[in-house]
Amino acid sequence: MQQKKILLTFLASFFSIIIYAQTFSISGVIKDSSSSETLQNAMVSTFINGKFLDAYPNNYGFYSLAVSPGEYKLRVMMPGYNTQTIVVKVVDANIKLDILLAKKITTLGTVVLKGKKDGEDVQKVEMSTNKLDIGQIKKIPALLGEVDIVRSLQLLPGVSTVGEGASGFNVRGGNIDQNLVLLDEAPVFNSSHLFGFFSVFNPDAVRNVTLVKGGIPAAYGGRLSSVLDVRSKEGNLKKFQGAGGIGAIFSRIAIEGPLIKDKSSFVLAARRSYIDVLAKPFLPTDLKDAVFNFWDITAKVNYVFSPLDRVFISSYFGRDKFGFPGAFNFDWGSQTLTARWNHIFNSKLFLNATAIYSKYDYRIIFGSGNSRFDWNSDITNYSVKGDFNYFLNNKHTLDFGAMTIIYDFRPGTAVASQSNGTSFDFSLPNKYAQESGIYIDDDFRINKKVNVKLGLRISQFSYRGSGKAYYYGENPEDRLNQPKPLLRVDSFGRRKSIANYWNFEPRAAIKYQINELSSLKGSYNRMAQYIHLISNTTASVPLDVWLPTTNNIKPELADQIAVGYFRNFGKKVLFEFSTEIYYKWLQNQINYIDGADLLLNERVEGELLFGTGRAYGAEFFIKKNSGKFTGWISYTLARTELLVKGINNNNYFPSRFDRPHNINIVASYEFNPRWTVSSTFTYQSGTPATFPTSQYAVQGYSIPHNALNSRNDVRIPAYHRLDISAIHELGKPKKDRKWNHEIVFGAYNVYNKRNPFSIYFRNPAALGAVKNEAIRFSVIGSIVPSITYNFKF
Amino acid sequence: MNKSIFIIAIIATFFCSCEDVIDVKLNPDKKELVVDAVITNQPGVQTIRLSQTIGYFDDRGSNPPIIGATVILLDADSFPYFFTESGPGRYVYPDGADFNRIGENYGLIIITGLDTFLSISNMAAAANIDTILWEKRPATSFSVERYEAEFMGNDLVGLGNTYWIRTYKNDSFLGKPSNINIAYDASFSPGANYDGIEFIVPIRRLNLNDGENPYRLNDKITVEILGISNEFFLFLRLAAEQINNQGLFATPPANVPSNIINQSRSSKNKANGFFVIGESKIRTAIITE
Repeated sequence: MQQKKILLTFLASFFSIIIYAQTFSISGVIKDSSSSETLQNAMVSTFINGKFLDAYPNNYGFYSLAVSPGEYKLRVMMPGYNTQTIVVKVVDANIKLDILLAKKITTLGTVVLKGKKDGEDVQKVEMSTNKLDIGQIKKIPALLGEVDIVRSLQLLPGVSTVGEGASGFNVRGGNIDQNLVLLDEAPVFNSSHLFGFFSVFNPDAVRNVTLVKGGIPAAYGGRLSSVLDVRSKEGNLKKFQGAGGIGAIFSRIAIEGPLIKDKSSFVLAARRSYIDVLAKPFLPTDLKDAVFNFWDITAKVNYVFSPLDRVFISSYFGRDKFGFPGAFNFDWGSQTLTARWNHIFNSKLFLNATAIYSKYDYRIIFGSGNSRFDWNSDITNYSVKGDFNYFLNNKHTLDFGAMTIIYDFRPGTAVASQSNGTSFDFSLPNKYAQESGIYIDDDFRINKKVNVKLGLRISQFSYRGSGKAYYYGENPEDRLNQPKPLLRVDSFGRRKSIANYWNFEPRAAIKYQINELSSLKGSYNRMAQYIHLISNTTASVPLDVWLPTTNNIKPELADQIAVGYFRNFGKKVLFEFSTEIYYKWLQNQINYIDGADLLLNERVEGELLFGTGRAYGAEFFIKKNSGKFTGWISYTLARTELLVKGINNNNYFPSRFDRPHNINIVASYEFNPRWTVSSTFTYQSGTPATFPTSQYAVQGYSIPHNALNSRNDVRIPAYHRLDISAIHELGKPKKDRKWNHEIVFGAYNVYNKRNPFSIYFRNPAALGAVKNEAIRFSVIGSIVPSITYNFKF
Repeated sequence: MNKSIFIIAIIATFFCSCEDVIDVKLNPDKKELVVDAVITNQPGVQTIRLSQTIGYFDDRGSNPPIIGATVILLDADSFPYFFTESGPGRYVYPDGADFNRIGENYGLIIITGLDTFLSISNMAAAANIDTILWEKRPATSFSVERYEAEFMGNDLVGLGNTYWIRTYKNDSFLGKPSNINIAYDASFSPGANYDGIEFIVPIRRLNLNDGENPYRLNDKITVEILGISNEFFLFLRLAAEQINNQGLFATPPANVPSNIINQSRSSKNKANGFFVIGESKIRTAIITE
């Protein structure tokens, strides 16, 4: 019934589109004048019929304005760029106008960088969205001086983590697997290096980062909580340039430039850690061959076939490796490949067609020679999609498209070789699935005050052969958290359907402009998620396996409503303030029976529990973008609770990453063009935990016991930390300098706090000890100083 | 597969992660019955211990005994074997009973105060230990020169056999939680389908050796395979996980399920611990050059 209503609303908005009279259009691509890279964050503004009209380009810099014949003065603005004014005369045809913007240059030759137009948040219909420019991220003090995108995101409202060293991030009460992490549109299944200390995104290759936490556009689907859209640089079409750095953990280099001037360019960026190389001289002989490193390469090329056609190919390869030869070898990593074709059909219709390959895999080998255990696992996907932007007129912009993803899951291939020459294979069968979606979104500017965006995504998922389907019975009420009894196993042939699901995912957003400086916004979205990261440890490990939705695992669903108030202060928009409250209903959330065995277990689906959840909170954000003093303060008050039969006596319990209070202060001060000092302060409530109350002895073992049988009913102490960094520009101040370099001094955890990651309990190892102990485990238990040298040419 | 241990070791090497013993206030304790009943077909006195839970930070082993309980073991024909209290909380059946009806159910009845507890266990068969081998290993950065022991044996044919492999060095039981060595068929878990073949390396070799307490020349090694029920396999697996559940990759702490059920409907008293009966096979060797 509800879905019918939504469809009707859609049709109504279509009819309203058709009755508009024909007009001409001014359209084109906005580019950087020095590199010819396209610019997405610009705004084209003109004065029509006594009213200002703003147009925003799409993700590829394409803009389109509908106008009647006449003369127009276009003002093109973009933060960090000189504003340009162009006079255009429209007589009896559409005008094709590519716009070049020049970067603002400071006296030192450094470029002024900013994420978006000042005060833009108040104007746009989108909410719950944070855009970070890489220049902004680079100012934030970083662990070991290594700029990191995911760690920077954790300073934004609504974003948290279970702790230092944990991979991924949690958005508004969502698990780490509920974020759609995209690198040039390719999904990344594990965004971490070194467990969770660094992310896979090389900051020298990244151009901008957008995190959408709510009011998620219909173009995105497949995850419940958020979309993290990371776009890499396109590559300078005019001249060669590069950047890099040398740090304590790893070194970086990135180069870009034209392959054919104004037609084709490339970006190539690489990083490698070198702890193992540095440590080698200090290790005993039998450990000299220890391997401990990670590396990654980000590459992109593009070719301009015609003013209407451009092709991009981008790729990421990364690997983490650990091992002691002969004992064990462990390595994991992601690979992505994206091929993209941008086509401008006409002044109103833009197509981005994409083909994507993405894979995450790991491999572990224990032992060597004849006596070894060889284990690997991966998730691979192939997808194609077409996304259209139709700039129908100045009131309606339509986004629509379709996509399909083919998944191959290899949950585990494992072979144990025996000393007698035989080997035994206990691999799990592969799993196959396909996810498809179609969507349409209408951005409808009803009048100067009201802007609505209505969308619908229809998604479909099929889990299919060849493979086996496992059917389980239910456990009695008092044994819900034990493995479910296996009733039967059915075999399915190639491409035979095992389970099928459809979901209607309506999306809606509305903005009411109170005045020039403030607006009210609201949004609703339903999201469906069909693939799941199966992990019951506090922090996700690289060994964790993704599983598809099956006959046992139902699609996860989330409904979110959010309302927000956006306000700019100051004459020239000195401060941006926003506050949002949200409520989220979660269904089919995955949990685990006690002691679930999740790896290399054919019957893993019988060890899963399913429940519902609720997440709600309020977020406050104030930001200063311009001037010598910049930064932000964010405060989040939030709860995330789960209800799973068989856990916590069938009552709601807080999720592992439930942190009611989360305060972040990010401040940066430019003392002079050569010195910038930045600092961040973080305070987060302690994460929930389960403590034993008692113990008992069986066969000499002292077994911990919780007489309340509760889950996450206590909290570990709060987390707080201060970081400081100072950036010192080296070299002589000179305009248009070719070579820029800087040195970054940093101190992480300045006041040397031992923040608990967890509190655990143990029988002490010491002989004769009779008392059990509580242990505070801190991942980083001291101040971490760093020096990094960065250069740019 | 304890995936977390080496990962933590690696992280700890490069980050100054640290662990401090701290004082923590726990929720109040509740006194509950604890049953420790592992019965085998080996000759000798069979013992069942009854005690109470204690606070987590109380001295280990200070569990107060349950005295004056009635403890009866029943075989599949409901023939009762009355256990008598030989010391506080220590209930014994004298040598001479032949508990050897493999594949059949045994029942345990415990009456204490107004509560009657019942538990049922199917007597599981044990796999054979064909031989015990050892090999001299040179000293490395991690360990001194030592002998590494290994037993050879095949899992019984058929899916779903579970075993507890107990190792004794010079007649003293390797009783650290990290020494708990259990097998589901020839491997670790039901989903592996590793049936009827030689036990995999970690089970037949790694877990027989205590790195801090290695074997030397002339040491006596005793390996016992005890057939156990699938439920007790789960009990031991969870107990091992819960005793030392630590670090970055800990799983949510959970209670280890018991198979001792209170039959008195009006009572809310619960029991912890386990009753299991199984076939036991033992092999011994002395380490020589």
